[in-house]
Amino acid sequence: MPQMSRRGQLVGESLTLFVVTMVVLGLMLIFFFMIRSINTGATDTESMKSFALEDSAWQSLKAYANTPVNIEYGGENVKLSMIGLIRLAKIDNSYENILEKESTKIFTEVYGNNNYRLNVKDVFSIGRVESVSSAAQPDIEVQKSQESFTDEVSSTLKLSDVEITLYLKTK
Amino acid sequence: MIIFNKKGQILGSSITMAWKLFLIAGLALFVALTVGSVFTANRDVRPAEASILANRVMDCISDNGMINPNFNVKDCFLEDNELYVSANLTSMDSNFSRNIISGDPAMGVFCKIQDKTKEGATYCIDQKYYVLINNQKVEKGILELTVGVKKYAANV
Repeated sequence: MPQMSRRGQLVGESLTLFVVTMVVLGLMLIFFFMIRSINTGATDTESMKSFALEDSAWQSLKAYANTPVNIEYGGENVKLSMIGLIRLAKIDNSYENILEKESTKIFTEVYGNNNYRLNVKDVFSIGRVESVSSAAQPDIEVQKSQESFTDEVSSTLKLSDVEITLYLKTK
Repeated sequence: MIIFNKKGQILGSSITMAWKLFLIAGLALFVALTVGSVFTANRDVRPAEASILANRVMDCISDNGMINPNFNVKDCFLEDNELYVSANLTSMDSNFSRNIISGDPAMGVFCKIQDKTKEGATYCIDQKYYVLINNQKVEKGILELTVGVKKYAANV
């Protein structure tokens, strides 16, 4: 066993103490920020409003998915659910118009014109949608870009083949 | 090998021991302060309670977005004079509408008091939902829900 000098022992002990001090201070700092985030976090009024609004979006999406719609299919009047219509519009995009019209009517009446946006993945988007087209080059395909709200909450209804997201403005 | 004198050794270990004690005392103080700040903080949980109650009422009266026109909110929560729920169901396809209130209707007025720390002030949350009304045929409708929580003494 190597013999350590008394000085070496003292230096080693001091170094250990220094490292322990640093670790303890670091841990205290981490805990301080954790406690601070708990104290100022999720219970404030705004975040509770967002929580309630998120539930509103979720409940509205469930009703929206089950909303009955009458469409003309092969010369016959057919009754479908909104989910059925979305599936149909995915196959035949001529049904996108009626889908957009019905969806806009529903959500504009409930949440107001500028307070929501709806996105049905790979099918359509409504609400705060800005059309960008060039008059000089009419052959350029019209692009639609959806403008997001600064403060918004969202709920997504996911089925195997359909994904609908409703965004609601919080302020 | 350097020989330390006895006095120096005692001084060195005293400094180390003092530092260790200081570290332990600092830790104890930190734990007391942080835990104390969590447990003694005056927290108004009415916004949380109102939001949770609104969600609960909605879950209770609707089934996959479908609402029975004869719905009742009284069975959805334990009524007391500190809670207030007003539900207004309106059809988008017909003239059907229904408004039911559970709790003290006067609390609806106290919702308008802006300063929620004033005695008697009620914290209220207004929610709108798109719903389907099972009214012989399925109709599109809007449910406006106002949930109020008084509980002044417990929160302020």
